[in-house]
Amino acid sequence: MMRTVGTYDFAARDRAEVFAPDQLVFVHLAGTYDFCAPAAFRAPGSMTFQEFVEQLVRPWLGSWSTWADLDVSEAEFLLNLEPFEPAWDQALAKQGIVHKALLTIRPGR
Amino acid sequence: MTTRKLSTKEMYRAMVRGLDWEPSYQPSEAIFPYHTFEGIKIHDWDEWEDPFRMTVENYWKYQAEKDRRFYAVLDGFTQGQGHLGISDPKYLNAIKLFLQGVTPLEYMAHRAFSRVARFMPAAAPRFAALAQSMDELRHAQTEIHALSPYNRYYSGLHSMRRWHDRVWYLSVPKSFFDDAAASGPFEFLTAISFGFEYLLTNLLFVPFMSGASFNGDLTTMTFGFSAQSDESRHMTLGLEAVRFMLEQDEDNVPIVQAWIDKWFWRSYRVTALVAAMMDYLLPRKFMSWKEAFELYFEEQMLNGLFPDLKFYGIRPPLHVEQAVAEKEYLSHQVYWVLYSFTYAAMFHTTVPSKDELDWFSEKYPETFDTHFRPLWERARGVQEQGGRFYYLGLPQLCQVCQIPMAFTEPGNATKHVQYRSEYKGESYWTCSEGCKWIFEREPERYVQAWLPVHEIYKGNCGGPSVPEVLAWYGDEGDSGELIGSADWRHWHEWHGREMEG
Repeated sequence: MMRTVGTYDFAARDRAEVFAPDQLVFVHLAGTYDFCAPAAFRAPGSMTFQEFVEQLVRPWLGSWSTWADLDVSEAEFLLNLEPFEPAWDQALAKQGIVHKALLTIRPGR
Repeated sequence: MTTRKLSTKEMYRAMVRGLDWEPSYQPSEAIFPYHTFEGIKIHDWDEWEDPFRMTVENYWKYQAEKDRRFYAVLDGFTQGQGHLGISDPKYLNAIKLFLQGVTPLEYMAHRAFSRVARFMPAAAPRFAALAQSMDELRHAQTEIHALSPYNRYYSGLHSMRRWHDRVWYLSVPKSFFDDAAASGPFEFLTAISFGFEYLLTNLLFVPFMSGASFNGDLTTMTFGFSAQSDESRHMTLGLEAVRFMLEQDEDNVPIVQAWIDKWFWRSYRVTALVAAMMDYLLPRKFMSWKEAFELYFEEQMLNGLFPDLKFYGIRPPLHVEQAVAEKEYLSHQVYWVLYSFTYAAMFHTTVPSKDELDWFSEKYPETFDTHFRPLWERARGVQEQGGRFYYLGLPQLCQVCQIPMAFTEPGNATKHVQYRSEYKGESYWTCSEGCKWIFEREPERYVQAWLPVHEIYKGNCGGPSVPEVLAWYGDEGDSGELIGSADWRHWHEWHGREMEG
């Protein structure tokens, strides 16, 4: 608990409603340091997993020609560090990929 | 009639402590309302020691003399085309990092110490803080003057205040200092005077100043000499403030320990930028980050200072073992981050030369050849084919230190550390146990962080696309690859050299 001179109660700067109906989603390509850190994307919560991968994740992977054609459907996924099976035709928010969630892609099962 | 000159001690007693008075029109707590809420108990302010016994008169005399010497060197430098002395165009980026990242902190320190000088309820700490406030203002000015001669010949040195407020990587030092300045006066002194200045000044100062000396940057080196005696006074203030709190009341010990734990980690994370600068932006190298860390932190602080503090019930900071483990890879990871995002850095990076890679292999035998050499060789491969590797996107940032989430587990240089905390139903990610501990101790504070990536996505930085953000930064070719940049071209033109790639 913070010690303060007075009441100290402020809304979180990046709370979900600030971005709604979009949300921030973090994506980590595990097992390599080619990408120094996970990426941050702003995506509509209604975007399907398939669209998210093709429209946002794919161009990012293209930073390296060696990752550009990665078969993401063959990868293993984690959501917030827990095992996760994506539903490719379902909206992100519907399957728990909510604001500031971290999706890990572990290439090649 | 003979007049006797007062001794330094008598002068200090008369002219600093002796000028204080007890207020009678207002209660003391109305005049000094901020020194109790943090929970620090003080019983006798007269116990505060000031080993420098500085008075205003002495202070002006010393500082004026230092300024005279400094500006004489600066004049000679300008007249003698001193800018031609720098070793390599790459070195200019160390200067930029200093001007963009450090100089604005000196100015913030000036402001924050003025506040301590106003609100401490005793004359001795008030005067020590006042002197430091004036030092910091002088440092901000002399740094700007020391670097201004280069501004006539090279780009990227003309807008440091704006960049400090806007550029993504500069939110690391900016948010660190704002965090400290938003604390109460005792925590601020523990944060900046002790955590930053006492524990880590040598790790900041030596790389920049010795780096300047080895790379022909005479003005920065002269600034360093000019500031050195101030820095030792600042370190003394940090140690004295901590010792004083610990001696005044046993109840202060756990509060001070928690501040040391927090501010060691916060300060150490900021020095990550120095680590990258030291190993990668100094063409003529004098010491590796790992060696500097071992000498200035492990030997002088962990083995020198902390055994003495044990007497007061203080142990080494939490998470220090992670910092020690990171010395093997910190500079490589942070420079890889800077290289990856150079398209918006307001300075230039490039792939290290073959000789540099060999130097790293020698200095970092445990990690470099296994983990980092392959990355650089691939980046060089891309460059040789006429391309340039950039990370095509924006990174996830640590909620506390604001550095991209690039840090890895000890002994595993590709396994990222990722911690998730929940607060009021939302997720917050941190890069290390240290940052996680800091977040969870005071989530109210860190949920307000101004994270550049999130602000860009909100459209608060000129717009949501990279070109809009660069326009908002005021980038005029100041970011991007070093080779082929305006700096690169100008350096070769001033030096009358062919441009080798």
